[in-house]
Formats: sequence, C-alpha cells, structure tokens
Amino acid sequence: MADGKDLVPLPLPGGPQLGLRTNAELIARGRAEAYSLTLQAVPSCLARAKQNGKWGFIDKPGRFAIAPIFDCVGDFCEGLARASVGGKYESGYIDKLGKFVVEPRFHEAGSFVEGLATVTIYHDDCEECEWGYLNRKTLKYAREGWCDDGIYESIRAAEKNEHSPHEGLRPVCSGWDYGYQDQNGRWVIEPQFGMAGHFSESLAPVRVNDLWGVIDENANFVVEPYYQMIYEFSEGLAAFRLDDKYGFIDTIGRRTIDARFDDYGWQFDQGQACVGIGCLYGIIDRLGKFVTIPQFQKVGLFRKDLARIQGTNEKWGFIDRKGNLVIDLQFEDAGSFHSIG
Amino acid sequence: MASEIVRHLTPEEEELLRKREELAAVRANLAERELELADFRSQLAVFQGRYMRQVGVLYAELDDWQARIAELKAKLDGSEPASERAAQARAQARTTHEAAHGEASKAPDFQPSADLKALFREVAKRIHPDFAKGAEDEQRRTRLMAHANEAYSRGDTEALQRILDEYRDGSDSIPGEGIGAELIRIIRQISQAKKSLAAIQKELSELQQSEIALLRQDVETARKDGRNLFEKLAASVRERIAQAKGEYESLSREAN
Repeated sequence: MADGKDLVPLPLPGGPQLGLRTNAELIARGRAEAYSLTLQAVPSCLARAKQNGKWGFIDKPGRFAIAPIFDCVGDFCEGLARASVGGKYESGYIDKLGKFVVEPRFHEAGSFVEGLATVTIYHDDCEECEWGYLNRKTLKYAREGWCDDGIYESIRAAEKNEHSPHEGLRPVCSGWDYGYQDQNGRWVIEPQFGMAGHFSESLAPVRVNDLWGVIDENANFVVEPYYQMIYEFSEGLAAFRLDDKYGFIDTIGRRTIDARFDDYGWQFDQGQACVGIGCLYGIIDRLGKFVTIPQFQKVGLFRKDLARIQGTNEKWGFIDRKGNLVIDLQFEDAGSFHSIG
Repeated sequence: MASEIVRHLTPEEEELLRKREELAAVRANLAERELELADFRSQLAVFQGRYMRQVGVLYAELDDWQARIAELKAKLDGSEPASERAAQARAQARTTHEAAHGEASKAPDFQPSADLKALFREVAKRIHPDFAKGAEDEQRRTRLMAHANEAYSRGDTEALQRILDEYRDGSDSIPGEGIGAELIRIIRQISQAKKSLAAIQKELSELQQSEIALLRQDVETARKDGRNLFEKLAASVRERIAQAKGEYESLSREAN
C-alpha cells in the first residue's frame, strides 16, 4: 500500500459551507484513497439517467456511478461529459468521477470529437455568442469568432454522433430532382428522382412518381418502384412500407419478412431490428420472429449490448439482446451507454 | 325581489389578493427548499461524523506514527533537514488529530422523522427573515431561523416547537398599513424570497460538489455494490499503521 503522502490529492471544492472546509484535507485524503481502492471497479461505460428531475450516470448494473445532481448532461466522449448544475444554463465538463474539470461557463457545449469540442460563450453586453474550441488535452479554450447557424448544427451533429460518413455517393437536390454526387461534387447519377436516400451496401432507395424502389451505383433499378417507402439497407435487408404495413426486402427485392408490422423503429443491427405493433415496439430477428415481444413505448439502438427502453409506465430501463430486462424501468429519462475512455 | 348587494373589488384590492396568493406560494416553496438544504447539511454532517470516527482517527494515528518515525530519524541523523522534516511531520499529525477528534466527529447519527421535517417546514414558512415586517422583526426572525437550523441538525423537535411558539406574528397585515403600502411590502418580500431561493440553490449545488458529498456518494455506490468502503478504507489505513509501527520498532532497536 502506498503511503498517504504519495497519493495525489483530489482538488478541493469551491465554497462548501458549515465548516466542512476545515476538514476538507482529511476528507480529500480519504476520497483519494477510496478512489485508488476502487479503481478496478470504475465502469468502462456509462449511460445518462434522470431521477427526481436530475441527471446522473449509471453503470451496466444500473447503479448511479455519478450521482444524479445535474440539471443537464451530455454523453461521455473522450472521457468527459458536458454538464450543468444549480439551475444555471451554462455547461462545463465533468470527468468519470462526476467532478467538474472545466467549470460551467459555456452557453452551448458540444461533445469532444478528435480532441476538440465546439463551445460558445454568451456575451450579455452585446447579446451575442462567440464560439471556439475547447482542447481535450489542455482543457484550454481558443476563440474562433462569432456564432452562426452552422456552429449550432455542428454542435448538434457532434452530440448525436452524426459524424460517421455515409458511403461515397451522397444524395443532392438540384431544382426539383435528386441525384448523386461523389466527394468532389461531380454528378455521378444525374438528378432524376423525386427523393433519394443514402447509399448503403452499394444500394440506395429512391422515389419515382410517389413510389420507392432501389438502385445500384449505376442507377439501375434492382427493385422497381413499387413501395410506399423503402429505408436504407443494413445487413442485407431494408424495411419497406406497403399498404401502411412494414416488412423487409433483401438486396434483390425478395420480401423475406412480410409486411405485417404497424411501424418500423430501426434497421438490422447484429441480426436484430425494431418494429412496432399497435403503439408498442419490440425486436425481431432476421426471420421476422420476435426476440422481444412488442411491449415498450420506445426502444433505442443497442449500444454496448444494451438498449434503452421506455415502458408503458413512462419509465426507462435497459434490455439485453436476448430481451431480458437487465435494468428495471425506473428512470424518468435515459441515454444509451457510451465508453467513458 | 330583493337584490343582493355585492361590493366589487377595486383593481388595487384584486392585485393585493393576487400578490398575497403569490407570496403564499413563494413562502411554501422557500420553506421546502430551506428544509431540503437543512436536511442535506445534516446528512453531510452525520456522514462526516461517521467518517471522522471510523477513518479520520486512524489517519490521526498513522500520522502520529509517521511523526514518531521522523523524530527518531532526526535523533539518529542529527541533521537540520531531518529535524525540519520531523517538525513538519509532527505539525501534520497535530492538524490531523484536531480534525479527526474535533467538533465534526461529534455529530450524532440521526434520521430526521417526518414530524421533524413537517415542523421545520412550518417554522421556515412562519419565521423566515424574508417575510419580516421591519428591521427589528427581521433581526428576530434571523436569530430564530438560525436556532431552527441548529435544532433541526440535532433532531430536536421540542426546540423547534418552542421556536414556533415563541414567534407569534398574528396576521400578515399590519393594522392601518393601507392597501398600497401592503402591496409594496408584499412585492418586496416576494422579490427577497426569490433571491433567497437562488442563494439556497447555489449553496446546495456547492454542497453537492463538496469533497464530503462526493465521498458520501462513493460510499453509497459501493454499498449498493455490496462493499463497505469505510471498512475497506479503515483496513487499508490500519495496514499502513502496522507497517509504520514495525518501522518505528526497528528504528528504535537501531537507536538503542
């Protein structure tokens, strides 16, 4: 066991009352030691969860690893999560112990992406926001300029983790019609569709005269326009809507799962997709058989092998891929699990 | 048919009624938040007391052994730096001893009952300084509110009841005050109460981020996981005390 003096003391808090500060050194010593004792127990991923109107972070067994004391939090990204407390709008960033490592001062605070977070600072005097980057390593802010709409979009995109690019060709609208351009902005497929989805698995859903079909990268129809709607392909299957019911087709247009669902939640991921019957959602396998029968108001995507679900009691919990309720329906709101590293 | 005589309220009277209702709501909210703050303070004080008694005293013992070792080394070494290190270690041991055996360690274990909470809520609603009717009244209310906070932290229901009995302010109106003056007084009280609400929220947030609150959260998290973090901490410090004792004894043999 290391001597107490070798332990790095945790930073003392700002402004505790009631004479607690006088003993803070001795308490900080215990906390530093407690942390070193339980270091192995620090979870590798956490999910946001709301209880009694406040947000904290839970681990996979469903316990609060970071106490629910925050008014607002974001998901962990590169070891930090944005958070605000005390009824204040401004956000700062907390570490995996729930301690502010960057004090709340930002009007908008984005998630860290490749070592940088986009943040904004509001100026009361001119009622405008400046923006800049917060550096993950140094935790220093560098001003870039005054805000425009693009900044807020970039913050939202980082928050939703929307920076994963789609496949090469992207749908672009010209006049009334959609076509596809490559990364250099050259038209590869001329504008000719009423609507166009992203390419995935070398196929893209497109709309012609109010009916959806599927094209390949040479603009040849592999599924003729016939459906009310077709979504993007994933794991060789795409959801379609026909006569207001949802089913799935394969890459050559065969209906492998009949149109018998009332709604569609999310595409196939590790052999499972989310569909709805009535107003409740469940999870099916590639044969269309329910792995989790429809019983939830909402089913999130699986992250770290758990999916957040909202029960008919409005509360949120988590299920595993077998449909087992591993964290009871108990939270007022919840986010998906994310790595904290 | 006799017609009923109805006196319509003047706009000032209507406004006064609205403001009285708003004041009542703010009062209830403020009392609730004062209770939340008092409750959290008490919980932290109780937890701090437990920490000092179970772990703090062990740190004090460890630091005492470290100081003895440093003093013995200084005696063997005879150099000035060794003497300085010994003095520093002794000062550290004294500070730790004072903290571990000080007032904080004497905080009694108590769980506030529903009756105690209800009583405190009532006291806060009735005697909060924000609703004083003058400078003298405000002074009296401030003194009583401080006593109420102390009584709550001790779990002393009788004292809270005495405070409530002692303050009998009668109605909210001041005789001969007039609608205009009452309206102004109520608006000021509402404004003051809102400032107090913000101050309470700030203090709560600071307390929630304090080392003791975070340590309490760590202990609570470990407890839910079936682990007793206090016991682990105590065992870890005891182990180091044993090592320090061993080192001291071996140095003593060397010195003799």
